Amino acid sequence: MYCKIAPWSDSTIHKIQINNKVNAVLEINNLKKNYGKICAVDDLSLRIEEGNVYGILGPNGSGKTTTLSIIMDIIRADQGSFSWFGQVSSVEIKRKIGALIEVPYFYPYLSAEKNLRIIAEIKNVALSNIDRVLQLTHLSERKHTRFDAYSLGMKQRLALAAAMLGDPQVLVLDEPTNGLDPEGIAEVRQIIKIEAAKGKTVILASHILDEVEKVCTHVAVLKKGKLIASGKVKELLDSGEKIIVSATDSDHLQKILSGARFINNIERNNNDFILVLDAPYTAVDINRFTHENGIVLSKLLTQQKSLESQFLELVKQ
Amino acid sequence: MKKLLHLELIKNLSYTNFWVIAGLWALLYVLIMIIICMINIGLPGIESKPYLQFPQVWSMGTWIASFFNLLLGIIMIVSVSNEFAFKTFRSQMICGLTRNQLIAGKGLFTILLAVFSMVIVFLVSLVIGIIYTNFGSETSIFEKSYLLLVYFIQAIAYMAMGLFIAVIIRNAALSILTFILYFFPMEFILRSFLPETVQQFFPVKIISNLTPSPDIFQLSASPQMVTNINGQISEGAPPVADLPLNIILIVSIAYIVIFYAASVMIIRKRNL
Repeated sequence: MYCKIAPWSDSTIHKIQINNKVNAVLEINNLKKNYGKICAVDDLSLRIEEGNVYGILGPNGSGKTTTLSIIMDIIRADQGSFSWFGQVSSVEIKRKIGALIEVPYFYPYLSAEKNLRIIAEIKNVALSNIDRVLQLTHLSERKHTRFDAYSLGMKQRLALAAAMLGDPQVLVLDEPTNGLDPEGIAEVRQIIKIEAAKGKTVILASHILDEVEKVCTHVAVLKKGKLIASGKVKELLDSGEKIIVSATDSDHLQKILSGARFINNIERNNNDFILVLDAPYTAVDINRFTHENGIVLSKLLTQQKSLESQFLELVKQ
Repeated sequence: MKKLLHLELIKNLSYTNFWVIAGLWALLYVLIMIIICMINIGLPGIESKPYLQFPQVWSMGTWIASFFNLLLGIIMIVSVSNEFAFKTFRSQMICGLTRNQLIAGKGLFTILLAVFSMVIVFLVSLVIGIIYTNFGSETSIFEKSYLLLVYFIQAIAYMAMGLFIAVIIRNAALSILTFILYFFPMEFILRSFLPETVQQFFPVKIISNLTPSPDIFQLSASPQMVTNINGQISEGAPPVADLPLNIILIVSIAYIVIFYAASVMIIRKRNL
């Protein structure tokens, strides 16, 4: 069903979101897991909907892998629950999910093809599927090579191939670009984008902000097992443009700027002023505002607040 | 079932170490049997070797084979601890096998291995029996061949025990060490503190008593023993009467069930 939503109608959006609740692919409720005294996942609740490319972002040791391991049933949670497609996890459901958790695990003495055959058989996938995923990940030529002779990047690509066996509806990927060269990283991202474009749901854990920003539609930020922020990538990470202005008469400019109501924050750096504006306002408004107040700017720069710094800001909170 | 067995075959048949251990098993067994055929017990008045004739040869063949069951147990230990070491139990769970199926696959592979080793014991004993038996009218070739089935249960019991130890310890080297040390002397030490009636029911005692020694010397030295063969196992009259074979069989099967049940319980509880 396709719905056109009027951009001004917030209530419509709200209603659609409520309707979408039926299509939750994964729901996590108050998940908790301790390793001894260390709390790996602390009261985590998430909701991932169909078609989302959901990034789980967090520094090392923030509980990403533990969370994914719990939802794939390989680690038992101490508390809380999760459901796939509104149901308790089962063998049938798992066959609809392609997962790559942390490091790829295969039989080192078997060839790539035989390793994939084991997985295909478990998932009840036709063996013809193996060639398809090997081609997607550019491993066809090396399919008869033993797994332990693979390079780190090739191992990672084989793990991705294994996850995509049987064309699953959901992909759970834990740091899929780990150990890949820049070309490999670009390829993997491309593969994820293609899968997402087919309407698949992708859950992607990563500590690389850039990756989440480039690939994901939604993001949850974890820190020490706690959810500290979640939402659409655009809303969460794109906000907070910085605008740098200067004029010949800096003091006069400062006076005028401090009178502007739509400026959230002013920071002076010698003759430059670094401004953060309130939501709908942009550089255009600053330019107009100063001009109306009789000042001609000698410098007007828009600077995307670096994602890295925003991420660090989030994590610091 | 077929799927689980097929998975085990893909995993193990391409594994060099599996072939090394299985090959050693077959080679050593055949060689020892050949050596036994060549031994001359220098007692006067014995023309041929009764223990190499039908039906005694079944007892001899299975008794010798039982020494090499440790190797079968080790095959199972290596197979299971590899799954932990390579974390492939974990990846197979992610793909949609249940924890029960992980153990079930090993169980099916155990049965397959036991069948193969039984077939080898059967063939070797059959050939030796044919060579050394002076066929008379009353020779009953398959009289004691039920011992092959007993050996089959014994092989499964060894492998079940190997599986159990590997599931607990998860490390191949330590598991093999524990396995061998338990056979000797750990269980022996444990047993010696307990009354004899209890001693009889210890797993290694029970499992190795499935195929008792054919008691070569008494058999060949005392003529009345020859007539005494009527399917009874304990010809040698040991100091403490051994349990009858059917009891030993039942207890052995109970141990197999316990080992599997315990392995499943452990696998279910642990993080993989």
